[in-house]
Amino acid sequence: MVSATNIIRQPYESLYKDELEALKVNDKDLKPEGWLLSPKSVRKFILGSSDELKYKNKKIQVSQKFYGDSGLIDRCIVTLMSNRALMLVGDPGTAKSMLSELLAAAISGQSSNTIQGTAGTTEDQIYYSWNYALLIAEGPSENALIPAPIYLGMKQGHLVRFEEITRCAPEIQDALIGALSESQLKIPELKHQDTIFAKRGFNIIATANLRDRGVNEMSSALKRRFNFETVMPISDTQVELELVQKQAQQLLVDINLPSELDQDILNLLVTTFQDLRFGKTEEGHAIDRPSTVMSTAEAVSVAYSAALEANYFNNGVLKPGGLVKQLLGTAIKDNKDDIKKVQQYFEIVVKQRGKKSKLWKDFYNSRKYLDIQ
Amino acid sequence: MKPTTIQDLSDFNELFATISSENIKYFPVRHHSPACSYFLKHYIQKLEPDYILVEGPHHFSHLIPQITDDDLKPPFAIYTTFENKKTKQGEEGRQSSFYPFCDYSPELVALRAGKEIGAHMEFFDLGFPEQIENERTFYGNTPKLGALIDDVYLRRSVYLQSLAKNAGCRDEDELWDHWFESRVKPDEPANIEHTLQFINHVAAYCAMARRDYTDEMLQAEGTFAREKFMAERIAELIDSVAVDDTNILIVTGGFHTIALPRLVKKHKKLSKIRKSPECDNYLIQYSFDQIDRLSGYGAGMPSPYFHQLNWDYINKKISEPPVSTLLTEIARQSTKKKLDQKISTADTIQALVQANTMASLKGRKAVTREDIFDAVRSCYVKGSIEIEGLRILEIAKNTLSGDRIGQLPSTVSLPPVLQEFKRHCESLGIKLDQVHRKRWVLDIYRKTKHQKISRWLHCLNFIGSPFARLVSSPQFFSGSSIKLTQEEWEISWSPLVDSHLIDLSIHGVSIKEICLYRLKERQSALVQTGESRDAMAMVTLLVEICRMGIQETMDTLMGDIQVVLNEEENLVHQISALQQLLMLGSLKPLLNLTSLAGVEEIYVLCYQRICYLLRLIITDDTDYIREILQNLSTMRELIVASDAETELSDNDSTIDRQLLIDSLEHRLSEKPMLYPVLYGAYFGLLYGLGQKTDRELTDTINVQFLSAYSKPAERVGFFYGLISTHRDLLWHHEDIIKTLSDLLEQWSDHEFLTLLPEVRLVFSELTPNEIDRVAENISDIHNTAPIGTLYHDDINDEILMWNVNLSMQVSEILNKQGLGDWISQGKK
Repeated sequence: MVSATNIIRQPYESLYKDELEALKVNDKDLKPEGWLLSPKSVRKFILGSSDELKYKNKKIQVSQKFYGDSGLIDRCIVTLMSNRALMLVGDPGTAKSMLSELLAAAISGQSSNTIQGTAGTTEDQIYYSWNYALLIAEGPSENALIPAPIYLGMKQGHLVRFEEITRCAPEIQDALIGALSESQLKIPELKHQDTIFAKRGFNIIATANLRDRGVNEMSSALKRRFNFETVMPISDTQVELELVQKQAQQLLVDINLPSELDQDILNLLVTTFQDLRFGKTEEGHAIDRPSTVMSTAEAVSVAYSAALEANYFNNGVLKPGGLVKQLLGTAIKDNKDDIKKVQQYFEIVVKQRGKKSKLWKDFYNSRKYLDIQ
Repeated sequence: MKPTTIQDLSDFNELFATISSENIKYFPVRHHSPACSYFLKHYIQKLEPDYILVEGPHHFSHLIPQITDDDLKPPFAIYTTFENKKTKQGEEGRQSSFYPFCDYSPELVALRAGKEIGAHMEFFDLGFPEQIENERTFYGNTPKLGALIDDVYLRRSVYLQSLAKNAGCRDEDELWDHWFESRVKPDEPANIEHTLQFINHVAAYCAMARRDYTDEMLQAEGTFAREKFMAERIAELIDSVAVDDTNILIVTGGFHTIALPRLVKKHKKLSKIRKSPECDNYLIQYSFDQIDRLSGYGAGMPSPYFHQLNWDYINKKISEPPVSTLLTEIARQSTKKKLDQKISTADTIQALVQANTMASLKGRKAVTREDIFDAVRSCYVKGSIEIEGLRILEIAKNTLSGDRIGQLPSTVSLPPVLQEFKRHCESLGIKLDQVHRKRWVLDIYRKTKHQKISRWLHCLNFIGSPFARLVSSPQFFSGSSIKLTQEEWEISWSPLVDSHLIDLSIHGVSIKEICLYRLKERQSALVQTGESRDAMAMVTLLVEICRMGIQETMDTLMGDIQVVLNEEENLVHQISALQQLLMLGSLKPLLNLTSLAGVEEIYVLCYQRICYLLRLIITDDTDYIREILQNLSTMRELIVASDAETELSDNDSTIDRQLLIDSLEHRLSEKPMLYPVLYGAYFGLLYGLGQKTDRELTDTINVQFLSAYSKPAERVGFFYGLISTHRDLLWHHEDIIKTLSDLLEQWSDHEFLTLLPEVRLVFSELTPNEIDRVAENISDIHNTAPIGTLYHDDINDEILMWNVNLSMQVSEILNKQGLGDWISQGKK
């Protein structure tokens, strides 16, 4: 675990530098060309391992970073070894971007070759653009060229990450087809070296959020070049609890706040999220699901914000009421109906549980924070 | 007796030594495992044992020559069945079970290999009846799975689950595939070292799984009893032969291999063999589909077709590895089933690469079924796995599972009923080599061949066979349109069809005989439950008999029906019976003429009886009356139909309409007066039969409305009854609306409000179209402009009624104070 820094978020290759080095040093298996680690080591890096690795007189244990189906990780790794690109799809907050970053950090040693997809993304931001002053002054040359992620990825033989690809205009998305099928980039402006041939190790990891704009708008020519993998939300309460605890604690440590979080309160939070996410309680009631995504990321966010509030305003005591206040921010993103559904959940499920547990009772008694009228 | 338990690793070596001692060798298998079969076959060829004992109920032994017949093509099963004399609570008298075999089942491979070397072979497990007895209701309602139950131990082992996770596998199935199934490659022939290693590994695997089971659990599941029996048989054999010169090979599920050697050693004396009920054992066809389903119960190995291909591949019968065949087939199926996502050759190539890479990444020599599924997930799904992926994954699952059905050689003895069934299928061109649903539309009025098929299917249906399902059949029609109607059936074969017929074979040698048996059962059941007094039940049975074309018992049944009809007092039952009899008319083509005459007699009798009951009815039971109303329109339809028929055929109708008219008239004029609703219904019928004039109608309505009934329902009742039997009065007969309108205007506000619900009820059964027509009539009468929107969404019932009541109260007060004018100005 790294101690507090003044950067909000370090890239994974820095955050887990020791682990990556340790894995590299101890890696005895075959590496695909252009990869820094073997597939088995990449898998270990992502899923964690109980082995202790020796590195620089230290004993390094590789932590689990991704919680979910291990089969998914296997398939992602195999895909990246092949000549197809990888498309991670799923609901928001299911750790698609995190997985993409982990894969890039492990395989290429860097995760910064990233294109953020937006409605305004242009080809310049994908392939390359020009320093126009230099271009006019000296004419086309490699100096004047400003490389963008795909150019860099091809030249270096590194993975390129394309986040939220479906947000881009379809024409822009289709610009990728050339790169993917030809594995080369033509730069007609340069007389010499007008083609960049992609080095081995180059591949693309794209992510797409199914909630907003589905993959329906993606051309089938483009779809064909990707292997799709669905990242599912966590269904195991225990696993999610571990994850929320770990991530929230890390965030608190980063800003030098006490990071002890009450296990029972977190359990309550995670259970609530699971109930609302899947529309079913463990008692067996079916409940109306809010339209907003109740993802793990949001659960972490609620826990973190609640802890912040507790620390700054409440003498560090985290209570169920604090959770309710933060819940409002996450639950009603765009839909008033969602508050009603959450209130209904409180009236039926939380109230019932409150009869047997003090914690749930406090939770229920704080429901006034859900009224915004 | 305690089974062997492994205390620490050195125990393993001891275990290995005991299962491969000098002349007595054990081979641990997992049922339906191609890898086990492969090494077992090699072992038998190398060892050439004199005796081979195979796990399976001992009473299967006499079937071994048939099982090893070259013409027998798996998948097949041994169907074993016996009558359980001492029925405990809730236990069925008959107990049965399937023991499936595939090409790659170790038991079958052992028997075939043993035949080649001329070994003496036997099944040596506890008999099926005894197993049932020993086993408490551990598996609840799941069908008895015979030898496959052993696999359940492997699936449920906690140890193996965590072992799977550590090895990077999803579950125990994948772990087994990873460690054992993928060991075999066709270009690496087996040698004795590999084989011995395989045996030891499987033994160790099962030993660890067995650790999760306590003695109590094993006792309850009947495992100890079986192992004891098997150990005794082994000991018996050892005693009876010259052990030093004889090689004995024992093939059992690995779970038992762990325990047997020690039990054999400790064995002291043979226990007495108790007499057990006789089992019947039959070879029947079985399907991959059924075998795949067993994995849903936690037994066997899923995806039989995948394993079959693997088996063929490692035995060099095919040159393509299963993965390419299957991935191609899945792609083909997705095109055939017109999935949105087209899978191209490039996709297939990619998937193949993916599967192979996955296998080598995990360190396997061969591609397992999970690798194939992963390849499908990665390369064939273009979207979310929960949406776009569902159908393709289903296709993948079905493709790997397969739909093969085995073939039995002609020498196999089957019960006559089953033989007859199969012959009939053959003659109709129904191929029993695939498990598919087939739709059949039968033209029973125009094609004799179809009539015969219809009768046959109805017979099968009647005896409860799962082979055929009646989707739709002709309803009662009159006249010529009947000739166009058809029967629709859905046919699907499964091994349960065969086993069902086998079970029934004790009741007859042909399907017809079994039908007659069932018929007798039904008739006596009817008598016992008192339903024989119920005309409906009997007539229903009569209809079924006619559909089956079985004339033999019709006469007695019809005699009974006559008696019952004469005694039936309930009008609704009588009318329902009549409806059923009407349907019989539509079945004319399926009957021969002599039987038809009898049916007509009953038909007429029923009709007469109904008229009689109509004539005499006295009741004010509102539920009964409502039921009668619902059925009375049948009478009207009947008369109309019979009139039409008379016109068409120039014959006298069998229905005497005058009888109905007389009965109705009679009752109308008799005391005590009919309950108003019935009164209206009768009136409507008579009007429809042309017996009442319009004038009479309007007069009666007036009288009824002004009558002194206290209950609102009764006051409107006549009207209600009238409309229920003659709805079109509302728009054909102008005066009705006018009369009703006048009456409504005469009512005071208070009266109106009280009667409103009842009046609404009268109109509530009209269709929207009919309502429109009535509304038109009303507006015509009143010459009014359209009244505007009738629906207001923003006010609910409560508010409306509150408002109405308030208005009433306010107007009362105002009237009292002589200010009534203020309100009436607002009114028309």
